Amino acid sequence: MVSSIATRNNVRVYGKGVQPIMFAHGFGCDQNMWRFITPAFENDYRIILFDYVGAGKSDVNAYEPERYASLHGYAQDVLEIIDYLKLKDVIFVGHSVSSMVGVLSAIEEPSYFSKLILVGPSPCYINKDDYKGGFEKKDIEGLLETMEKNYIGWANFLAPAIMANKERPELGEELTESFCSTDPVIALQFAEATFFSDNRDDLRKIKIPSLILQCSEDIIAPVEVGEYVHKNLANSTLKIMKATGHCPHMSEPEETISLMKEYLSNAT
Amino acid sequence: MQPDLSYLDKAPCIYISAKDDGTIVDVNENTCTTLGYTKEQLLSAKLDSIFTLATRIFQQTHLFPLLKMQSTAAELFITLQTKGNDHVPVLLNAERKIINEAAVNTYIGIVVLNRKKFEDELVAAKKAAESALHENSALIQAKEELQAHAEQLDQQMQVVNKQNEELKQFNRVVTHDLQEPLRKLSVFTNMLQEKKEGESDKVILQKILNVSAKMRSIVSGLQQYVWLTETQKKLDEVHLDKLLLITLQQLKKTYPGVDINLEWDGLIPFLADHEQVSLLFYHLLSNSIRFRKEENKVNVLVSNTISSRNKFENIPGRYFYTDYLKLKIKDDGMGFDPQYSEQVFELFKRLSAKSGHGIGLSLCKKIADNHNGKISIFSKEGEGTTVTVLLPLLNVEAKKKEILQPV
Repeated sequence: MVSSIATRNNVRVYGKGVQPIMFAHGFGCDQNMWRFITPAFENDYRIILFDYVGAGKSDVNAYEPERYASLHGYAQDVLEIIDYLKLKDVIFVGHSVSSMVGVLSAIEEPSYFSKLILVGPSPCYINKDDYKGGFEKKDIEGLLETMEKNYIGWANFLAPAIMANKERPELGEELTESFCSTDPVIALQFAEATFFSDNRDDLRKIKIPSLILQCSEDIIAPVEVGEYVHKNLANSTLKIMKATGHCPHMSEPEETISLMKEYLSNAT
Repeated sequence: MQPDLSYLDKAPCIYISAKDDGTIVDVNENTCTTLGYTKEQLLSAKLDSIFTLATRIFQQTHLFPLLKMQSTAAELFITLQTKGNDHVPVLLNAERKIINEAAVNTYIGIVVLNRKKFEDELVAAKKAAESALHENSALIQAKEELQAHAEQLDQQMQVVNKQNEELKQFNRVVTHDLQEPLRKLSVFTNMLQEKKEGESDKVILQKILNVSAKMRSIVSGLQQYVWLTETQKKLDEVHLDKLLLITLQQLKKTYPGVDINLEWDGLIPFLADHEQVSLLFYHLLSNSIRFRKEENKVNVLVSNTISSRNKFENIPGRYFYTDYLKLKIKDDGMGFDPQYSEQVFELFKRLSAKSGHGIGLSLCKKIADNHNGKISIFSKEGEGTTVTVLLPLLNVEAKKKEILQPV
């Protein structure tokens, strides 16, 4: 059965403002990762939170391997949610891979978005020719193996993937009880879609203003990658943060909030 | 006050304590030995320096968010990297505590070299099972596609066969049925030119008129046939009882003085082209009237049933059963020799001088074909004729069935 978009993507809408601001989680977790950021925007914005199909408390049964084999499938989730909520001029905040999902969405439906805020974006994780994404292909394969090992204890990991969803949907529900736990098969495919993606050419198709929040010492999206994004994204502002690691919205929420607010107040 | 963790120093496990930014603040002897560093080297180093790259990514995307959000993470598989760049698989539990207003993440792990081997095998076996299942579902999908293709092919073959047959018939009409009156026309024209004795102009001209009239009726028959071939059918819900009443009115006007006793029972509405079905019944009923046995009376009974038939007609060994509406039109007329029961549907085939131009039943067949249906005729001289029309049942019937179900 096809669930509504709201159930499918576990969409939550709240806040006292009018201007919509949509937060898109990255690879690995779900909408909960924004919980340190959203309170700062509750009074002035209309907040939209969601989980991608396959993550968090989304409807795992709506997962279609062919659709989510590339980031375009995830971008379709974003567009369908905006369409469902009948929104326009959304401020889109994307963490990590969601930055590129936001870019793809904005190329598809420019009128849906007014600004992009990209937290730790990378258009391509793998080194290619002169481009330094930070990883070799074998590194990514190692990550996939690590992930696979982490799911081995899970009951449905041992059941062949295709059966798991079709015949035992209740397993999907069990898994989503815990934060950061996704159906292993879906997580692996998300990892592949993420880390093997190359959206460098897409950056140049974006005209709407954007803010790039770049952490220092981020192994997943190094500073050089942030600079590459800034160079290729017209109307972009680059901020190098004091925060280290790949999740400034969790490790340094105050700095993240103040940079976001500074950008939003200057831009409007 | 810092808890006393000194006993951990000698414990046979991996013990690391680190800040949020990854700086190692405590580590036990066993960990140092396993990784080939001294304690001094590890203290104040970053976790990243003892993680493999994959584990570093995992730390950023999973481990850190988990600890930040839930303060605890259990049974995580990570890989440590030794000073000599060897990989050490570790099963890890982690906990995050705020001590003196600073976050401290504590990691306890056991090295699982052997377990890793088993797990590798397990993963390999799982992948093999998965790919076998995948191949199986790929096969099932291929089979379904093949089925769809076969059905399509069967239908296309049917269409091609019919078109072939029609072309042959057209060929015959054009080459023979139209040649003949043309030949006569030129004969008569020659006669007029040569002015043979004993033949008056008026008689010859009458013959020319007769032949032209015949040609015109052949051409108009062909036109109807072409119309049925070219016009897209429109599907309406056909209520036969209403349709039969209207047809009966028309026929009574065409054949005044004939008592047409038309009966029907339990007619089911179905989806079809209303205009074409009207034409079908017009021709079938006028045949019954024209070939009646009694001087001024004919009895016709129309009935219907639902039958299930194999959709595949041209491909042997393939079966797909689907529902058809079987219409029977039975009269008590003069009938004909059953050996002609195929030929009567051919274009311009006439069995008697009394018949028209041999177009009616060809049109009926065309209409049945247009609906992917079938038409057949059973007759015996002196015993009447029964025409059977089979039409694939489209959804209206299914709806009707639902309605008829007791609530």
